[in-house]
Amino acid sequence: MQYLVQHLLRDSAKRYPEKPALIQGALRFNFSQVDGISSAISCALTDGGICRHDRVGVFLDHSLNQVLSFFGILKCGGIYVPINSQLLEEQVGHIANDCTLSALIIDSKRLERVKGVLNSWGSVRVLIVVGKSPDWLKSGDFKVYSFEETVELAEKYPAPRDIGIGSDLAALLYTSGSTGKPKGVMVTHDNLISGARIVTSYLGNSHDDRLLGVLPLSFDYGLNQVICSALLGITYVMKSFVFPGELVKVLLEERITGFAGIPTIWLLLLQKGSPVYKNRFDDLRYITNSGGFLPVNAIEGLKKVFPKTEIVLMYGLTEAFRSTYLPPGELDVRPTSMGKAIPGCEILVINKEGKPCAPGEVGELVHRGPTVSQGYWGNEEKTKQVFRPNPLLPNELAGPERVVYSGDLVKKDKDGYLYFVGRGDYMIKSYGHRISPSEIEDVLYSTGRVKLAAAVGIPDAIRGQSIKVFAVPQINDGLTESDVLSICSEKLPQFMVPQAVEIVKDLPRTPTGKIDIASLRKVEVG
Amino acid sequence: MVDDYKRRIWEFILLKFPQARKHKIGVDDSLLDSKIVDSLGVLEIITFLTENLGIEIEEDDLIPAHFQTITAIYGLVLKKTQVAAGKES
Repeated sequence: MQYLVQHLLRDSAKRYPEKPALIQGALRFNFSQVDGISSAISCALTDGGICRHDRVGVFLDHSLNQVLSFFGILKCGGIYVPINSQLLEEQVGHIANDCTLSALIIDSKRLERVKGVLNSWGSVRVLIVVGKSPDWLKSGDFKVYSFEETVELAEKYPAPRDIGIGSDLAALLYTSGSTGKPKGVMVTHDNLISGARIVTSYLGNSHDDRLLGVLPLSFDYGLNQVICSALLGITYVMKSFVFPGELVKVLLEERITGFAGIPTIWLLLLQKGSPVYKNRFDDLRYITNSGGFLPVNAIEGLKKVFPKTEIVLMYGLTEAFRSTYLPPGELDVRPTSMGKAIPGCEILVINKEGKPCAPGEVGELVHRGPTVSQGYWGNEEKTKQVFRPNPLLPNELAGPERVVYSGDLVKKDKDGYLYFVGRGDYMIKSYGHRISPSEIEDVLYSTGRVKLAAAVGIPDAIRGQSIKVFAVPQINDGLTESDVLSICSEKLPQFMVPQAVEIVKDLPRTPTGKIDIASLRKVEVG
Repeated sequence: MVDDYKRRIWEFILLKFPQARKHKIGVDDSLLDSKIVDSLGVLEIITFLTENLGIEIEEDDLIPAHFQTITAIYGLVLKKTQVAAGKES
């Protein structure tokens, strides 16, 4: 029976031992090797004292080592905590302390990035290092393993025995909201397996597929592609890119059949001068868009370059994994729709009175079903706000089940198809990343040079939203726009550094005295 | 005027990419390998070249060799302006 995510890999390794499972450039592993190497990683973690339910962070570049680590952590009963590869020490430190990481799988380059603070994360006691371990690490109290040496020992390790059941946590996916620091969304093995079964069912996947993985594994849908591949014995081709030509090359050379992206990726692929226009992609069966609204002109552009490929629009949020998809047959009829509930899930549109909305009425999207996660790690208050009882059922029927209030405002048409209207709060979404304005503002406040600061999301053709910061300097501080950018780039990962800064004398206020974000945004949008 | 382009590209890179400023990037320092410029960054550079220097980016221009350093970007600009001048004459 397949009740843990690693069982999907185990069974594919039995069925297709020699078939390529993971590809990145010249690096190739078959299913049997992936199963063996992940078992070896699991044994190293167990040897280091990592037990069931311990949190293990993975802070690596977009590489196959991430996939191998994911399965290795699950096999020792641990909880996988992917860390966005771009984060700086402060954000990594927040995650490490928030979920009290016991172990970290990290490359030598990123180890240098967190060198100064690693010892202050009291809970981390085991490190698996990709690349050469620096000498300074030897003087610490860590148990250190070499990733490469562990991998080489793969065939010597027996498969670890099963630890845990499907309702155990498998992953913590850190994601931002409208305020505060990122929160760890608690995802079980059951959640992840349901997600893979649902997505592969409506995409009609089979073991003949070859998926292109450009999305990071710290993004729920990026991780889902890996699990779908394990479920059906699909070849997963991992790729990071700067130029559209690199994507075109991998699509053709690896005969990719399924390509998942976010709006920015499609717009980069469609940019002027892209080689996408002079090639044919006969193997590409479908592409899926997630992580933001895809403008109709981009859909038209994609139809032209991929005339034989189905375009599937998706919507989801980490708290409930995937929520809706638009069947490709509906794309010409309702190109601006986000579709309907994915199979096995129910989407409610609820108004302020807690009642279902009529067609055309704007309300909050509420998700119910087997992919609903277990809440936010160590944050009961926020969990209670977002994960609530079903508003449409009496207590007896609702029981302990929780539905997710997305914070996204939507409306339905008369056929029940959903349309995205906007956010109910001021969370910024840029290049697929959820960004809390307060995380940017806090960095500025921490310098003591800023009296007031407001980060707002502004519509942007490529990013979805770009970030603009309004800052009021302290009296007699000659703070410049360039200073603000320098402070941000010192303390924040690139995707959180604002695209524009304006130094102002004061910020508009609401009648209750709060900074009036709505009016700041209105001025920018015009 | 063309000689002035290198300085303008340099200024743009320093203005637009805070990481370039932080590392005090020179004209021959790596922009791509150092991850200072990512896929979106390349797009921003192209937009700058098109809108401010009147450079038309065509197929085959979008390769790493043209964007690796400020000198390389300048090289691309020179090539494009010479081609354009050649077409006109």
